[in-house]
Amino acid sequence: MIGVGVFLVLFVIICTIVIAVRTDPDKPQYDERQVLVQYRGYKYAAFTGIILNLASAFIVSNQSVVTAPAIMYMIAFICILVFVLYCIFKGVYFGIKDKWKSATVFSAIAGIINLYDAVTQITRGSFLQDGKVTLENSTNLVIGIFFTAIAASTLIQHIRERVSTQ
Amino acid sequence: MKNLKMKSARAAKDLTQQGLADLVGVSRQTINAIEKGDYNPTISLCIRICKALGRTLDDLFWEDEE
Repeated sequence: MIGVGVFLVLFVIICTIVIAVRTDPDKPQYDERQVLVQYRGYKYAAFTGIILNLASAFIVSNQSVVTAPAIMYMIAFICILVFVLYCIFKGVYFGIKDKWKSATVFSAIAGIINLYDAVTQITRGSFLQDGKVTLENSTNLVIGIFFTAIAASTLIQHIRERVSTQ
Repeated sequence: MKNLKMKSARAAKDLTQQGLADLVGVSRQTINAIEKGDYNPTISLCIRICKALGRTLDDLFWEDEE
């Protein structure tokens, strides 16, 4: 019964979010080239996921330092990162009227805070649990790298565009 | 192939890439990609660009035989 209740609550929350995003008048607008390039990004991210999952099936075992759930979690984030970085470097991540500066600042803050937590864990010696990297203890590190990479690549791409237009 | 006709038509109108992008409702990067020849726009976008620059499709997007 609890499982069904949790499922229903999650279903309602997801439906509400989807409806809110789809009907939001300020939702990001992408032009025809941006949509096409994003589809290519989805394809590369999906292929990355397939290859990494295949590789992990051969590499990960019970003796691995990184546990299987942590590997799956990292693969999911790598796939998303492939998509996001591809879109950023192709200039299609932000919509036509999106504010890239505030998004970059928020990404940098989220990245730095999570990296700080991860470094604190490592220096205290509490990063490994029973000598293994688990889903719980790798979260800050993975999210920190994820958001820092997004902020850094957005800045790099902005500098590249400024140089190319001058 | 670079679209120098579009670039010169834009310059003749004293428009930046961002200015033209705003007029036709696309991103600046898309205008840049069209001018560099990295992206072939749809006919709908071609028409919008032509209207914004006051030119015809032949003027901007017809490739000469030479």
